[in-house]
Amino acid sequence: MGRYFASRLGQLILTLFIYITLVYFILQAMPGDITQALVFNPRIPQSARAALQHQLGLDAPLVVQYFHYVRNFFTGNLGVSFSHYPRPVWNILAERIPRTLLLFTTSTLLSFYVGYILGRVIAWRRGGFVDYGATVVGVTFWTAFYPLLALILIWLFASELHWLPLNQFISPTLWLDAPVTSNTIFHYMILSLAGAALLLALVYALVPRWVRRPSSRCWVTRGAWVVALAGLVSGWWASGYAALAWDIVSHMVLPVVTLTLISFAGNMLLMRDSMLETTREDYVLAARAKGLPDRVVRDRHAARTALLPVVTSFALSLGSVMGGGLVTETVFSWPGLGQILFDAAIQADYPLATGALAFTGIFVLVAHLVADVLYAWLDPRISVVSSESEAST
Amino acid sequence: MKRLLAGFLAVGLILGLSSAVLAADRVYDLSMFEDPTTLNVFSALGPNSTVWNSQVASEIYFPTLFGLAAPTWEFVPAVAADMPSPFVKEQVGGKTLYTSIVKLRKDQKWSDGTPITADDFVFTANAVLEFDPDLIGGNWPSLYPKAALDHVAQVDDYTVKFYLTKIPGLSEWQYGVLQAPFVQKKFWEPVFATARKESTPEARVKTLLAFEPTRQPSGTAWVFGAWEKGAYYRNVPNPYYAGKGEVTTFYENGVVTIENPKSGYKWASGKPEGKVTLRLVEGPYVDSVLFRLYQNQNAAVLALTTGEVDFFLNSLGLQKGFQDQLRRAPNVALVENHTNGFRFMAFNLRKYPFNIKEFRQAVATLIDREYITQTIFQGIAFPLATPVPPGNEAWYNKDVKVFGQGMNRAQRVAEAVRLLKSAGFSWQVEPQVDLAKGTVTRRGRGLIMPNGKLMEPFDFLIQTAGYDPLRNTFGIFITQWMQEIGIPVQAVPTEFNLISTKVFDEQDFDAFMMGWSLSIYPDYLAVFFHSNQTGKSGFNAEGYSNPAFDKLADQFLAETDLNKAIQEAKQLQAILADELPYIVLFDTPMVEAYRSDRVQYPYLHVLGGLQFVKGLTTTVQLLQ
Repeated sequence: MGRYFASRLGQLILTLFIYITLVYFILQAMPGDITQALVFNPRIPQSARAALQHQLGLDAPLVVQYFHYVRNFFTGNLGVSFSHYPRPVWNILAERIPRTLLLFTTSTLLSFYVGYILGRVIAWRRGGFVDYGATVVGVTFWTAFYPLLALILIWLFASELHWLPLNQFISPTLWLDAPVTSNTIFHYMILSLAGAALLLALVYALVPRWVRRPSSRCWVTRGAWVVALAGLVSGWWASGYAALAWDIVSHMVLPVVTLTLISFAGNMLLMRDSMLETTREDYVLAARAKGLPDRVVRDRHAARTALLPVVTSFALSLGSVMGGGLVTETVFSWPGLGQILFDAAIQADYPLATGALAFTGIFVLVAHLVADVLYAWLDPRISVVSSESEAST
Repeated sequence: MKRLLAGFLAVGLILGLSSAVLAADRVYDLSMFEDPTTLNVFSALGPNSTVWNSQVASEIYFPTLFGLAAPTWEFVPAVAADMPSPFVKEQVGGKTLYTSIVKLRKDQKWSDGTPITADDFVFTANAVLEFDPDLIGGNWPSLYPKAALDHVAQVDDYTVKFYLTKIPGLSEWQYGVLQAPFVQKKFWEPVFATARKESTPEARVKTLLAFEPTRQPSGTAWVFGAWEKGAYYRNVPNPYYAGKGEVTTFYENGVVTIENPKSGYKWASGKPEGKVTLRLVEGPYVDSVLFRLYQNQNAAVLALTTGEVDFFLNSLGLQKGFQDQLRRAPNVALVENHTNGFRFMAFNLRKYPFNIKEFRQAVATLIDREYITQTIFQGIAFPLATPVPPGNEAWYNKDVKVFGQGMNRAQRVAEAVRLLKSAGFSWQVEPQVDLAKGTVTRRGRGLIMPNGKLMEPFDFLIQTAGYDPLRNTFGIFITQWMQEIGIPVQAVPTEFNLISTKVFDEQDFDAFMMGWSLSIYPDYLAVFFHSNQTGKSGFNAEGYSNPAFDKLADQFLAETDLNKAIQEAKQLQAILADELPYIVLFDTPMVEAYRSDRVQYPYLHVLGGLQFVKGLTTTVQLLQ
């Protein structure tokens, strides 16, 4: 396993290098550079543009610029943004990452969860009303024009019904005198959610070993959920920042719901197909023959095995979370990585665009690695075989 | 499944019950589309010169000696007490310099309560010159022009003495250094001292620009309040703002007077005559100005209709669809103003036969601006024939020659054919018209140039419909009209940056279409068309070269008398309208929206719209 992991890591670094090189030259292939904006102000003399080009290193040959960038990149220096000169790229990315991470991870998780739940139900009730209904609704949303759906939801729930905030990611009036910035709250939210998730993961991993009786296991896991939720609520309450966190949550509802509506059908149909395959397996028939209740056969025998491709798909989709979504961020005024990447590309801010893309690329590559490892870990039929043992078989 | 539904219901219920905390302050809410990028004025007016830095942050905190009084844009003192003294020739350190003295008002203060003195201005000017305005970049070279400004000295606490290498023209003097912002010496001196420790000039400038001041003193009505990047930006009143209560009065004869009842300061641009056209009493009248960030116009329009914001701050104005939507919205008013800009087409005059004047005149004759703006665009654009738009009234030459004015299609074609023939052009198949019926009966084909060669097809770079549908449509019509008389042109919709690169950086083009946003003082008339700007990356990308024009442009740039400058600007426009290095086409009015039930502005009509005067934050009154 260790060798396999090291080999995959090596491939990952090589892929990253190729990716960075491609990204760099594709961005450089765009016409003009950031100083071109100065051409449109007749009060700015040509000498000022030339000085800026020199300052940004744009007057050096492209290959020199490239080697300079690669050297900096692999020593952890993403350079200085041209459009926010001389602010470091890292500084800008660090400001945007928590917002993107929280929004898109939440929507990916929810979409996965809704897809998983509905998928296993409609597969079990194949051909019934629920199957047709959920498929039609899911596919309708899946094929909907995303910005239009988002605007309709904003108009309905924010503008007409006033149930949800109109736009942005916080309510300015609430934050004017706040003792902390929104990014601090984002960091706390991510940490507290990660803590709660870790607790639940531990409970789910340890309960089967420590608790023998199935009914007791159920109570323990339910208790863990209650403890995790109560911990989150009481922790936030005690911190004094609950109102600020809630403000962010309330602004997240519309984008998360829209993203979930658009994408849950993919997970649902994948789960449905996988379930239909699984239900034909002998062990499911055996479980039924033993007289186990339908729900137990569905959830504990069929759904667990069927989950495998969905988990893989989920791990891969988590990888693209960091890319954010330009449309989502623009329509909901949620300033994240997608927006900064778009702006940087439009303005020919090479270091910022390359930095944002590199970051996204690293996340996707790591997600692929995690998916590989997860797949091998989840499915006992798959094992990592060394080349020697492969040759001997 | 049930748990899932229950979860959704619970979240919905809690959200429905929760309500936003409302501030009790009098807040003037505006929408913005992008974050400012810096609070450092050297950066904001330098490499990070953006609309939002100018309208929302950095720039607005810094005083200037003089300013332009909107809505008439009269040149008036700001921190200065009176107009600068006439230039005096002096020998200083073996150099012949021209000096001028500016007296400062004694009632002006920074937001930390310290007085604004000559020392602050002198420090800023000399520091910028020392660090090199070209290296700081952006607007600094034109604000502190090193070719004209030798140095600045302090005579006493409230007197500044300028030392200039030449007598500067209006663009360098009244519309340049005298309107340059300056900073507080006490706050910025240590920053410059730190930057000076760097070994190279570039590193010094980088250190200066990297400094991000959060609690810097302001010398204007507003002080930085709070900034949550990606969400909002807030300005609060400067407690020591001396301008509060100051009365600016505009008279029928164009005279402007300023009177400060608290300090007793008085100034008049001349002898007031006739009625008072406008009387502005400076505020601010609100407790804060809150700029909310919306990243798309839909959201900002919804925010305006629901009353979340009072004014829609948008340098591009409202699109037609949004205008219609907001016209139907209750308590929302729309206001239309002239814009200070123009859109145009131009040929590469380095190439044959585009350098033939009659060829350009023939193309201009073919273009029916009124038809496109009124019939096709349904009045959302207005025709233009000179680079100075009518909104900039004092400088606008309404009498310039307009080719094809009032002609129908057949007459335009006949006139274009006549112009081309007069320059020696001919056709394989000459276009024919029926003047009585007003129709073109035969399309031209095979245009033969005066040198006897057949004209080769050429590209006309126009904007894509996605980038600017108006320019795209205009370009397609122009192409069709040129093709109709046999000019072998094809429109090539091209991405904006590519047009810009081909035109300005590479000068590799035949014809292109573009637009300009302009300043009040029309020194661009010289910059866009002077032959010293024809080099790569120069503003005269079309390559126009006319010694008579250059001479007049130089005279205009060096002009120190405002009335003479106006006459020269009008003469320049007359030459351009005949020679047509640019064929000026049209522009769109600035349409903006505000909450009529929430805010009241002292005036609504001003060149560039309310956004051009930054949403009138110091004079707006809240009704609720």
